[in-house]
Amino acid sequence: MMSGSKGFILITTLILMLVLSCISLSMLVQTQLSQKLAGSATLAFQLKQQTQSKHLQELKQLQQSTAESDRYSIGPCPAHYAAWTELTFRCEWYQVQTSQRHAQHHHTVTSVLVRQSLSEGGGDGVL
Amino acid sequence: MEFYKLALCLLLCSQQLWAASYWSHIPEVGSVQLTELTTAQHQAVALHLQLSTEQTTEWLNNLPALLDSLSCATIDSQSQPVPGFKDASYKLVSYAGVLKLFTDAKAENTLWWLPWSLLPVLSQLQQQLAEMDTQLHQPLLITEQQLGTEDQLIIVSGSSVSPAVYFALRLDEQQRIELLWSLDATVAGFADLAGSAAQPLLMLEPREQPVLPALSVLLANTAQAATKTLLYKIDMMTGRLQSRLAATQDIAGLSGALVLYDHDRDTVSDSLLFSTKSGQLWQVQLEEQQFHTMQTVADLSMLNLSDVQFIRTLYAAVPVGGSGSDFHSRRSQWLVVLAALRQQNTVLVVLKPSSDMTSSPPDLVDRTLPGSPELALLTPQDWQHIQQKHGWFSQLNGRLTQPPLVAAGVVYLNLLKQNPEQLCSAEQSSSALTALHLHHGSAVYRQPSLPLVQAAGSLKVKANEQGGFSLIDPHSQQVLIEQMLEISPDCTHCSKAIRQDSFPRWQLMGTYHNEEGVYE
Repeated sequence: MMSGSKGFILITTLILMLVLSCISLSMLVQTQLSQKLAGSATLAFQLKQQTQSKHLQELKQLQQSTAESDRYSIGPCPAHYAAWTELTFRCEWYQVQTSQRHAQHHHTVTSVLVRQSLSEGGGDGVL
Repeated sequence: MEFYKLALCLLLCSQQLWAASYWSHIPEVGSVQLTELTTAQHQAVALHLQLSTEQTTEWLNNLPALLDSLSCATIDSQSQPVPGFKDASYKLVSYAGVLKLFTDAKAENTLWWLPWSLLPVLSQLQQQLAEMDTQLHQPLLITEQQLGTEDQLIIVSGSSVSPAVYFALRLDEQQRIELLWSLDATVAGFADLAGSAAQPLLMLEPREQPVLPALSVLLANTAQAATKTLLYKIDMMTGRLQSRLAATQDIAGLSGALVLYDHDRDTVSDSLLFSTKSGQLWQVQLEEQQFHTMQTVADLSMLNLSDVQFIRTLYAAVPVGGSGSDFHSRRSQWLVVLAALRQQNTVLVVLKPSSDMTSSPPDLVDRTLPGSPELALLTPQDWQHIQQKHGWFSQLNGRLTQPPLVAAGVVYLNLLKQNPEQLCSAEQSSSALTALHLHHGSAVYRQPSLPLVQAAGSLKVKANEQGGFSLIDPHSQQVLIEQMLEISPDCTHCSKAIRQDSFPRWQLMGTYHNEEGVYE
């Protein structure tokens, strides 16, 4: 009689231990996963920030540089409140693209800018 | 003896220098100088004029005097600079078909071109020039840059005296003139051509690089009676008819003012605006050399216009509500700027085309400047009306001599008020430069109208030494406005000086983000 109850206690203990170990293991995995998840968001945010600051820097460089970039096309000027005749006002359309990659993550920022310059003497009386 | 020889030589040389040359084109002979005709050419001229040989000689002797009497200083203010001809000071003007290439420098000679068909009716031109309520359109000049050929210049012009004739001339570096083509009602395809000369319009049709764009010319048929053809599109070099716009509706009395514009803004002109003399404005699409889909844009006949001088289009951010610098209160759209004659004065119309204008006349706000500048107040109600209605118009004293120029939201207008008794006298006429706000027609500068000592020709924006921009007349080097202003959307009357250091200006049109991939 005694030996039968001992076996039952042993089995119950073993089952309990198994359940407990299952719970703790899954909790450990979950923690790791959430850490990874949290980390990825931070990394993605960092990458986004890096790309954006690099992009802003590139925009600044483009606007400050006197050297002509070859990545532009001459197109119609956007509408202005203080409108100019098309022949006097010259518009160059630039596209600036900045890409950053980290592991499998890829972030691209693209800006479209218009450089407006006044061609002196272009306004020979025609609109 | 030596002294007399020298004096005689000087006299002859100076005569040679000051002498004008008179050119025409005798059919099947070619370009001739009317002062250097051979006997056969002289006879051809006599036959054409229906005069005897002696009378023709007398006619030719009187020609300089006749053309001198035709010269009109007030029309000369409509002249346009001729780039690449002899020297930069040369200007071109058309006296209803007779062309004059001239310069203010006395040492240079004047060159006249007399269309063959106009020779017998030269004396009638004076009458044509005296018509104050119609616009004498000026020739089209095609420069060597547009032609892609050095030292060549092409002039396309027409005659305003019946019979209607259009012609193209080629000028080369030796100042030789050659008639490229001439069109009149006897030429196949042009049987309907009538009326006075319209403003020829150049159209560039882009082709595959590196070939230069194909050049065509658009001409309006300004016949008074209803006609079968409204517009012709011809090849610029040959005058060959490419297409015609047939009149589907009863339209008569077209004005000679036309404008091409790029409606869909893809850098290729695709639409043409034209108008009747009374101000019925039409639009027609142009695609692959063919006209299609003609529709009415607006009917301005309530303004009692007698002729339309210039039509221009402008793409602008138009205020549509609100008062601050809020971007969303403006709409990007095409504006039509139309300058028309009402008898001898000008009416300037700035129109915001919309679909509801096609069925009923446009509702325009009268923004005529009052006599005393202190009354020129723009009330909030006026401003609201302008934004809600179809645009504004302003009646101006005198007639425009050049197309209006829009710079930094200011419309600059060159006006000339002639004396009806002495139409051609520059001394008896008064000139003024008026500058109006593009969006509400108020005066932008302290002085709404700037009187000018000398009638200004074409206008040019030039950087000045003070770091700003001046408006000048490049020919007389007359500074018309010392410091040009720029309108600002901060308030209805806000303006500031345009600074050179504010250029180039950068505008961010948009930023797009794209994220791809995952972390492991």
